[in-house]
Amino acid sequence: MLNNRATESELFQNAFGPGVDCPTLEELESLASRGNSQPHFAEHVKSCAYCQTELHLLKSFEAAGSGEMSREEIKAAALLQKRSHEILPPQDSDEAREPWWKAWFSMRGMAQASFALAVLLAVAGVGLYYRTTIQSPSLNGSSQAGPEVLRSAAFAVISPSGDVNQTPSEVRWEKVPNAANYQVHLLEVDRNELWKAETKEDHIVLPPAVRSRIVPAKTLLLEIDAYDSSGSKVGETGLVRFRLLQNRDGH
Amino acid sequence: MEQFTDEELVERCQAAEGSAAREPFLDALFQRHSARVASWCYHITGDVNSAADLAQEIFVKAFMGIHGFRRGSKFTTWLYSISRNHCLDELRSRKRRMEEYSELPDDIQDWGLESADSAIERYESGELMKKLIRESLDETETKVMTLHYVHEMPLDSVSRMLGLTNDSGAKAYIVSARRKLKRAHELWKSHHKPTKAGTQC
Repeated sequence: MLNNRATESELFQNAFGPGVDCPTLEELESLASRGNSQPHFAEHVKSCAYCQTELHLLKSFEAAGSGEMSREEIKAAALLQKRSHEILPPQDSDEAREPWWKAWFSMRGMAQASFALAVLLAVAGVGLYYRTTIQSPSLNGSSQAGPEVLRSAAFAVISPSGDVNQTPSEVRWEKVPNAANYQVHLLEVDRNELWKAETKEDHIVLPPAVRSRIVPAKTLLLEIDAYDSSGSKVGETGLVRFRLLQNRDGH
Repeated sequence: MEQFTDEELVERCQAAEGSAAREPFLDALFQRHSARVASWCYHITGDVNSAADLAQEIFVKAFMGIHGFRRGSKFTTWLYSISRNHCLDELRSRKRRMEEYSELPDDIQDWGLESADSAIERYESGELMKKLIRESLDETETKVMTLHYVHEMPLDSVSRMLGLTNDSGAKAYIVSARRKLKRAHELWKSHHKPTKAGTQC
């Protein structure tokens, strides 16, 4: 039965690790910057080893690089600076150059003349619009209107959400009109991505390797983004928590 | 560029996606945060060259994924999450590469878990341990244990990250925390009927 015993490491990982109520990183950051505006999180963080440590790491990151740095830190920063060209490719001089039309408009006299011309065209346009709408009544029906422009809207995850009794075999969500593609992200509470997939359907099957990572009492987050055929985001679920409940028989 | 906040710079990068017009905004973000990321990576690795390597990879990752930055979020928090995940992944893969990584013995000690075979029993043992942690450990011990056992950070990284200046660094805190937890557990056992340990918290 040795393999079934909890080793000290496993025990500590569980006890010091994240729990169901642990806030996300954004929530933790908002707590750190806005103080007591979110008392329920503040209360939780006070008694949670994992959140206290996360908060410390976040604060240490925000403080890093400012104030007094050790010689080694300065060296590392200087080395990184030297490699900036590997991170930021040099600008294409042709593209970076100001386009001709911008230079044209930047000339004072031309800018004024262009403005006057724009006003004239706007007045003419408004006049033409009124003339055509009075002469011919508008047609009813969708054929005249172009495709409906949707802002990125919220939609819901149908399952899994909240506490679930069985390891989910798939993720299902509300269909979003105009969505051609969905991106599904499965994350840990610290936003570490466990799995990512794309589909055209309003559901997706979880592969066995992913299902095996959904363990009892561990909160996971789902986030689904919907995109239209041009690749523009038309909907998002935001972060949705779910957790597999403990099975009383221990499986 | 100084007049723009980080988030405004990101917005401009996103608007200029795919064109060279975004480079000055990326450069401004890099100039603002390169020392922060390099310095933080140094705390993790303790080595100048690998800190610079990690920081470089972090910026490449961040700039490649900048279109995914969500309005309303804070840029430093987003950059932190990339840095944190990247550095911790690197530490874990180093740990896997280094067979000798056993700074502390991972014993099967007597935590009263001999019968904790089922998931529910292990869960409840964990809950008891959380209670003992809250009652017994101080803030530094708690952080040291979390960084070492949950994030699998080597002890020297933990010492640097928490600015521990004592001779044996994080190791002393781990030894002390384990001793305190052991004592608290013994005390708890003596006050509870020893039917099935860990099920009465």
